[in-house]
Amino acid sequence: MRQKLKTTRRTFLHLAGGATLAGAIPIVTVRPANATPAMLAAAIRNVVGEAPIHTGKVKLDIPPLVENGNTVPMTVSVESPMTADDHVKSIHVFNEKNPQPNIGNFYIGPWAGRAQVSTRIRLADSQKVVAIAHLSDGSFWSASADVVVTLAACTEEAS
Amino acid sequence: MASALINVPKKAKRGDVIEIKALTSHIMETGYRRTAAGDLVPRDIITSFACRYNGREVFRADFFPAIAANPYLSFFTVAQESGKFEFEWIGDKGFAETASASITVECAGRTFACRRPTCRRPACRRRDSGKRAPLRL
Repeated sequence: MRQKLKTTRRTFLHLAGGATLAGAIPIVTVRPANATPAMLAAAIRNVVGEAPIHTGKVKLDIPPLVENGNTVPMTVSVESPMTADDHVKSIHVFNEKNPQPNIGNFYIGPWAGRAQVSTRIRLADSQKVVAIAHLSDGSFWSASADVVVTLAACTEEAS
Repeated sequence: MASALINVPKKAKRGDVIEIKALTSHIMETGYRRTAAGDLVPRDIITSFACRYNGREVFRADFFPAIAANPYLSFFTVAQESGKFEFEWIGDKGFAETASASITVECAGRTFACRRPTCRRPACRRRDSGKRAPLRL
């Protein structure tokens, strides 16, 4: 457990460190800058606060290689008995390199019976997708997946 | 324009976990794309979705531009009583769309007697007045 916590914190510091570096380089682009790992970390902190994020319990089903980033099927499921005392309150999904780090927030409760949500998302680049579950006891659990995208979303011209 | 497609089981047994699927037609314009002339296309997305089961909210979602066009959702809930599911999508530029579906929830176990003497659900009443299903021992 302790070991797990340590890893998470280290990963987070890694991200934060990388962010400072990225922030130091002036970015001059016409397109809005894509989300950076720092933005991802910030968006996650926005939801999670200071609470530690554990790895596990959450399963993120997403194809590892997608041809078209405009519509990528994704399923998040969380191991939970979904009782009044022990259930999933919400599921949050984030990405690393889209213009915005958020993908969606899904709010459920013990009446859901099963903590599982599916939707279709956009991915602007090959990147990491992170799903975080907020449990009724206040703990946060996460899973992440790397996706390789051959045709990116968002960047094409509008007709 | 009725552009929502929803899928709720017509019938379920009480206590069953049922899957609900909802799809609506929407461009989900991200606000990050440009036209050939270089102008930014303004954002036009659905920002929230909610599902109510007999008036009680059972599922809610916040959407961001990273949700694909024609947003699709699948989620679960426990069948508790017969009634109505109401769906609502709200988005930019005053977008609002609603849909509904009804469900009939029967007492658990059709082949043996429901042990709740007060059960007044159609399925149980029919069984009480007609031929009584054998009790499983």
